[in-house]
Amino acid sequence: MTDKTNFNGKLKRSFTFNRGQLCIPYAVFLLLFVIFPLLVIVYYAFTSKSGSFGFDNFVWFFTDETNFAIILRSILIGLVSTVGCLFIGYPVAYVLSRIKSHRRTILLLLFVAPMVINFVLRAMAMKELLSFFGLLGRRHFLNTVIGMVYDYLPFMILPLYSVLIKTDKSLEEAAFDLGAGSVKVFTRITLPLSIPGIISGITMVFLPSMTSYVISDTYTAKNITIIGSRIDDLFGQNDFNSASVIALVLLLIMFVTTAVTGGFSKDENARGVEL
Amino acid sequence: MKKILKKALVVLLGTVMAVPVFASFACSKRVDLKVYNCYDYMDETLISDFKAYYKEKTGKSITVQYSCYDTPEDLYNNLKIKGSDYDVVCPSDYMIEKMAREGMLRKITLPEDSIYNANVSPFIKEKFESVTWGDDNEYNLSQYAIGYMWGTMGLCYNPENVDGEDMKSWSTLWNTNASFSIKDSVRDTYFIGLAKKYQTELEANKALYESDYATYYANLKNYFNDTSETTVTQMESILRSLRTNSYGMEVDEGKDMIKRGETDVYFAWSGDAVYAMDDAEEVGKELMYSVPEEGSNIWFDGWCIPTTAKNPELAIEFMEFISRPDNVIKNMEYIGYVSCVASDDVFDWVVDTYGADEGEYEVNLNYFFKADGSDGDYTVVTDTLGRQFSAQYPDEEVIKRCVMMNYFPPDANERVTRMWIRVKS
Repeated sequence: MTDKTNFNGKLKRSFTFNRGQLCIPYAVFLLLFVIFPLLVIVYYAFTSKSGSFGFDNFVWFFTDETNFAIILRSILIGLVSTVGCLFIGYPVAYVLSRIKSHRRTILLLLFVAPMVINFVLRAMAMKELLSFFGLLGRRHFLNTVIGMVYDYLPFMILPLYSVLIKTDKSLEEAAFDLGAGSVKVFTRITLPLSIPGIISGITMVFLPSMTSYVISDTYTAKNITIIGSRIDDLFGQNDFNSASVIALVLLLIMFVTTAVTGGFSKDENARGVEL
Repeated sequence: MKKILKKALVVLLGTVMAVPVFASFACSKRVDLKVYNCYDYMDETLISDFKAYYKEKTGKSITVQYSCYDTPEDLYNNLKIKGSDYDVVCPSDYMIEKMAREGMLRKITLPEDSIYNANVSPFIKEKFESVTWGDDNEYNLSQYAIGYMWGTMGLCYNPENVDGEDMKSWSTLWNTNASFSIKDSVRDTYFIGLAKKYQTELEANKALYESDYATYYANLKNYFNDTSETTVTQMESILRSLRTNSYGMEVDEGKDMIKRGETDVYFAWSGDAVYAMDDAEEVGKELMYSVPEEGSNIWFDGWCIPTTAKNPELAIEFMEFISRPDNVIKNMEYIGYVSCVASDDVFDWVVDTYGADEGEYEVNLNYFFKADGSDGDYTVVTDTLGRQFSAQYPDEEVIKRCVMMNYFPPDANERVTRMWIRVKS
């Protein structure tokens, strides 16, 4: 009896991993598919086409004004799309979080369903719709933003929803009891409490909508060039060096955005979702 | 012991992640022939036909790997950077020259009585031999490639909404109100940009066509191969205004755009134009194809053997098979482009497909089908011009206005591509 327990204990101990060991598969993945490619990008950025080390690519980047025009345009598209997503997504997340539980799950699934449909199919369908509304070929900026909002809306709704569902309803009830109107309850209680969700939503929508050039290329017949297309063009021309510089700059922008929106703060944020 | 076991498991877990990655390198199946072609550029049943043919001829079963690339640049990168061991690849004229100059291609010598040499159009042969480089022009394209498909560049348009007369000049595109698409491909769009830049010169040059064809053609070649610094600088604003006036840029969606009515003019390669015309008939549109009169581009694609090829003998066998007139016809019916092979069988197929007993037009194709010294006459009587037939087999008069666009040397290439991405900003 004692022997058996002892044996089980031994077995258990020999198959128990500490945290560091559990991270090894991920570390291997990270090393092979994130760190290593990143080093390659850095290497290309600092070498010229002939392979000599230097800052030529950076000089090109800062002297060609079209680079800045494209980056500014990308940021603008990212901003407008994020605001659009927030404007549409917040009410939806709010309503969803206030619905009775079993229906809620189904409704939430309905909102997430578009994410499951193949991206190319969605893009083609959206193009048909834009054409039907007479926007295709005319309103390039608007089409791009509609495309981005369509694609990234679920990424705004989910974090907002997961924060709103967790807020303590008794706080709102207390505010009502103390005589606050529904607008005041929203602006003083619900909205401030949902800020972590808003921040996660913004980071998850802003960065991809700044760079998803497949959307701008498809919906505007390449009339709108965003930063992703430029990187793609340069790669297409075998100019890995200039492309890498832009990729690095983009990385920098991403770090700044994440820092600004509080991604590095220790506050709890809400990038996951609980159904 | 425990520690060792634990470590072993950790390592195991870690390697499990990496296994699929390396497995793909380690256990690749032995392949006898690796073919690398452009997308949608061959009737793929020809691959199994080839295997069957080879089995019958030699009794040996072979495996063939057929893969595709998007742009000639992808092909180049694959061979240059990755050193892939394809046995037979199919780049465009300028890319053949680039790769041959960089020592990436094997020389090909086919016997005089080979299927390809016996059937290739003399016109194509001459074009391949005309692209030369090295001291004393010792190298030319025909040493490195055998012709596959060829064609022109032109404007495919919907005559219901666009005046055919306007389609006779590239410069229309700069001031037309019609909706048109241009190519997101630097060499092609640069070519029509040159037509705009040299608009007056090209107009004046037309007079020489009758009186002094040699000078006419030499001028044409110079205008359409200009990559000097001043020209490239001027081209930026020329192409920018072309882009602004266009509906948009595309690489392979152009056929759909014109079919759906998003555009009425489609800047197209001849084979794609044939495809677009076939396709648009489904929705009741009769598109036309025009090669502008100030001059256009004539291009070729050819099969080559990279120096990294493992099985060049089988590659030659494949090239010969693909050049056999029956296979050529099968392939042409499938992809819509025109083969470089010009045997009587192919001509009969052309007559069967496009000829009309009491047609009102006679199209002379002697330039393409007539071998030196033969006395046959290759004239097709047809009742429609400007449609599929004209796109596939242009009249000699059209062909004489088409020039090849040579490969850009590295410094010119850098200039042009840099200018192009600025245009696209």
